[in-house]
Amino acid sequence: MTLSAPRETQVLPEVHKSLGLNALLNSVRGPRSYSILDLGPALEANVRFWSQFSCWLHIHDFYRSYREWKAAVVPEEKSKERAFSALLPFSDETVFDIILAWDILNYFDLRELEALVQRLSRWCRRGTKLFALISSLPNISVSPTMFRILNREQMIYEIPTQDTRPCPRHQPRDIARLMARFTVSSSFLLHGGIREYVFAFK
Amino acid sequence: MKWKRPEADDLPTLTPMQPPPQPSAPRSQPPPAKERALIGPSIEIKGSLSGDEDVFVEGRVEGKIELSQHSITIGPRGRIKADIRGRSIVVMGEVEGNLNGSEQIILRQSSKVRGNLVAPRVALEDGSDFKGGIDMTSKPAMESKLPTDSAAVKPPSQLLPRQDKTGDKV
Repeated sequence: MTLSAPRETQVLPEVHKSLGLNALLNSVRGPRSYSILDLGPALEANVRFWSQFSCWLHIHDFYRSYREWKAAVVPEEKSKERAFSALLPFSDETVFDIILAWDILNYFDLRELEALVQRLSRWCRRGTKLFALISSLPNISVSPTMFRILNREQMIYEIPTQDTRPCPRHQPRDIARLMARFTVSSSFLLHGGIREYVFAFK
Repeated sequence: MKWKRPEADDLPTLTPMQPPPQPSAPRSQPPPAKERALIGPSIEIKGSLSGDEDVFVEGRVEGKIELSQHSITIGPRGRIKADIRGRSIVVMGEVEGNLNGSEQIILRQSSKVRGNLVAPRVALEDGSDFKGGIDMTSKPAMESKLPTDSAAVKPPSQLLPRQDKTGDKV
């Protein structure tokens, strides 16, 4: 398989098998429509992939929006709750069946994550799936990886830059506390210290 | 408002990502390709923009754009704060509003869009800055966008029990 790197990518994209994605997609079946929240950036491959299902796909590039918000707002007005309300402005009637968090949980501290998960929980119902990749590596790329879905069990990891930053290395007990309203539906340890999680809302 | 008709050489070449679908029945009077109005970069419109020909917008529009039977192209310099309704909508500039295309919507690499997209076919190029929702609940969208990779459409396997496994890089 030949892959050509997008212009701004400095690290060659790599194809990875994703058992987590496969497990997530096992819950997507039947003729019903699904509502999907993608917290990553808009990617052609992912829009194409999801279009095979009957769904509403909401794309929100959350990490970039949050970073821009932090840069724009004066420190005394920086309330995470206010930020998340502004950046994820869905009505209380909204319900998502799937939330794609990708690896952005690695880019927030626990307090930020608590606010984020609390916000997301408003739009979950019993069975809502949340897909996330959590790293235990000492360092991660300074920006979240872009995950392009090739098919139901393969993704291309596209790391935007070789520059790294320390990884918060969220501990399993912290994750369990953070995701108290979810159960772990599946989890898969990947090569290289990354774990794929599929959480299900209780 | 004065509409300036573009010279053929002035207009960028638009290369559709996919061939347009064949209409089920021929239209009575399909508009000739040359009938495309240009709203130049110095033009600013506040209100409703409607008409009976294709339009290429390089200026600013605030309000509503409604050319249900025609193609609407927002050029790289176009700045739109409006809901857009057209047959085919191609965006290269900035749009804040909902887009409704009866045939297709294409967001080019240079586009920045905040709003919801509703069309039987939606194509989004990498690099486009899009935040919003895409309605893929209609049957035509599913049919026209099925991936060719057979692995992507195989029936789902049995639900895996909770377990730890080692994923492989392939």
